[in-house]
Amino acid sequence: MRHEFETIIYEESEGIAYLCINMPPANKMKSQFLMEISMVIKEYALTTNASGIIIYGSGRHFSSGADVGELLEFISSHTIVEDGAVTHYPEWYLDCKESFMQLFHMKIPVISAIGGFCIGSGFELALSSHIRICESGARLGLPESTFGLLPGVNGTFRLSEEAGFFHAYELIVKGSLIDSREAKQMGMIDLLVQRKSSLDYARKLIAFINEHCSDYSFANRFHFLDGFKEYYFS
Amino acid sequence: MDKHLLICQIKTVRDLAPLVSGTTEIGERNTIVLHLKKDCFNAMEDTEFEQVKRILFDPNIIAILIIDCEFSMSLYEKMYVFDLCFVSNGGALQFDPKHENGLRFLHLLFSPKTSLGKEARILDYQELQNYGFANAFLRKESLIEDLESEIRSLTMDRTREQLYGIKSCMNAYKDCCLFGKTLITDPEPSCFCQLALLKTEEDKK
Repeated sequence: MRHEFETIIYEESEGIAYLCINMPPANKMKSQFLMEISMVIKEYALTTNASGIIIYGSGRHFSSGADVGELLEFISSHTIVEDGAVTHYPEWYLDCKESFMQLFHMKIPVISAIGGFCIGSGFELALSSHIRICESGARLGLPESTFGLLPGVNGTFRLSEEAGFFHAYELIVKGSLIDSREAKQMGMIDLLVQRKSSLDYARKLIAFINEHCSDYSFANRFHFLDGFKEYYFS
Repeated sequence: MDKHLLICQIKTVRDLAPLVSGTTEIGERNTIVLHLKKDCFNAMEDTEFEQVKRILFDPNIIAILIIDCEFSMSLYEKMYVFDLCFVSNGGALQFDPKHENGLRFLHLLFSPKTSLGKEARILDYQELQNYGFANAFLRKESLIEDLESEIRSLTMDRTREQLYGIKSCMNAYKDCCLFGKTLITDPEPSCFCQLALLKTEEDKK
């Protein structure tokens, strides 16, 4: 099964669901993507019979994040503020936030295969997965603060859970990008692999999990990841 | 010294009294630093700690802890009220793997995936840094300069509204993760959209 949308390719093959961010060269997320991703997650990913989901970017990069100019315009024109409080949010934004969290709560492994740039809302999508396999040389971060914003799609919460509150606060306020090695040290990614191999390892990990258990859950994911590392990397 | 910075030297629990009683003159300062020279947080009564928490949790304030003493795992159970933690030459942790709650808070605040093993031992400031149990190291001989440099590097060009929004979100999520509370109202959408509107207005000028 394969569905090609304007910005996403969703495909199921040999028991694995693939969600490809498809806006080369840098997979910059325009508003069309942010609407399509919610639809793809809700209509396909959440109902899949696949044994795992892999999220990746077409070409060299996972995603260089949202198109900030377009995003600002879109949010401004669809947000209503009364007496200093937001009374109406852009629907696609709340849908996007909800769908990212639903992806995170799936009972099958959700793995992001990361290469190149993985930043802003791209990194927030990767943080919505259970496991992040990252290629050496990648650059990751939440630079929204450098654009006058803050991470808007669960990034603050998820980064705090992965890297600890104090490091998450510092990274988010500074808006720094860090390389894959530092990201591994901080716990932001789970497995560091050679360039151009993250997708392959993501497939292998899902196969490994399927072979070795019937009780996969987010809570016990490291049990399988540790076994996988021992099998392939020791 | 930066006029926005308030530094409190804490050697005894009495030094916390102005914060506890609310008589600390915060004024225009938006960054409060507690320079801990003795591990005396545990000597505070719960009500006193709640008062300190109320001040440090204020989203208008950046709250920084500098650990410059040997301290026990119990400090981690109270350290969450800060936004950042620096360590200086005197900082050293009495690591006790049996202190379950301290260990849980340590992981949630700094390094959820780091394993420290089962051996009780002292971790000095270099080891604390190597394990990622501090945001930065401040040299004793140039503490104030290092501190100001770190704060400048952190907040450069960040607006008051951004810092308020980021900390509001952090505080809400700390309550969930550290204390198991249900997140009833996620502050992120409101903070994000309000900042987007402010930025759009700013760009139009």
